[in-house]
Amino acid sequence: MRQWLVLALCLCGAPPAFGQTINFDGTASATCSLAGATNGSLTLGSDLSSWATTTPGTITATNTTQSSLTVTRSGSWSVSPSGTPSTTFAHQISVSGGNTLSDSQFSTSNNAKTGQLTSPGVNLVSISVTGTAASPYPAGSYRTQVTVTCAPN
Amino acid sequence: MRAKLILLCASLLAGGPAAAHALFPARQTVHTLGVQAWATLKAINGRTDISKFVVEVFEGDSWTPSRSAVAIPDRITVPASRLGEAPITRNVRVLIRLGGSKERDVMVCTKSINETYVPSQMVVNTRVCSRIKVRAIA
Repeated sequence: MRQWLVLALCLCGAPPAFGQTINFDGTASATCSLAGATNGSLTLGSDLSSWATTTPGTITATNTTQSSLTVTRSGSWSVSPSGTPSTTFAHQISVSGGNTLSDSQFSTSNNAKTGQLTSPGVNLVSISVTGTAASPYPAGSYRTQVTVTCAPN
Repeated sequence: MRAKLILLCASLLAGGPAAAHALFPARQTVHTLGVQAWATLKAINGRTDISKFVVEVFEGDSWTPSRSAVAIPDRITVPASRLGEAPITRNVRVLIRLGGSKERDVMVCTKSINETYVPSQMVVNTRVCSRIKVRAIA
């Protein structure tokens, strides 16, 4: 009788523990996207022959894979009055956030500067442009453009 | 704590990765039995100020305009996003010819076209790219 009682207790007790793993699979797409582009503003210097950036242009680059970030400046004004002197442009870039890059860490080729986003992350890109000429700029409206390119390596 | 929450909300409203100018997938490999292959990309416009894009195709190693691949269409209109709504997408198809080689590497990009004008401005254009490799199955 006692043996039957022990057997019943065994049967009614906690079932054997069988581990069952449930997997959750997902794929993160490789991408580099650009968001929140904000145009910058330029101010003519007191010498009337140089432009400086008063508010940098900004953009957010988000990369999930190693990517190249290239900022290409225009070689000339896209809008300017007649008689505008020939202008020498330069641009400076800084990246903060997921990757930190100073202007000196970008490689330069013609009008383009290229840096590497090695770590996945959200990066704030800040761009400044300067323009200088040998003679004063005539009165009028001026506009220059930069193109930010994000491409997977 | 309150300041952090306000900062978080502000950063979310400013537009994160979901509200971005993007091209998916950023990298893909297509295998073909023939001498050419088609690839499809999805262009996403999360910008609120731009609706027109030019589609550019470059050789993957040199960034020179490609002679072996063509994008259809080469200009697309993807309506600008509205705050709070999902970005609108359009498909871009790319035909890549192998041109006698066993592998071809091209970079397909969508570049924003800015048509608004504000004086004394530095305009920021955006270009996002996708790398496509085509391999011949021997």
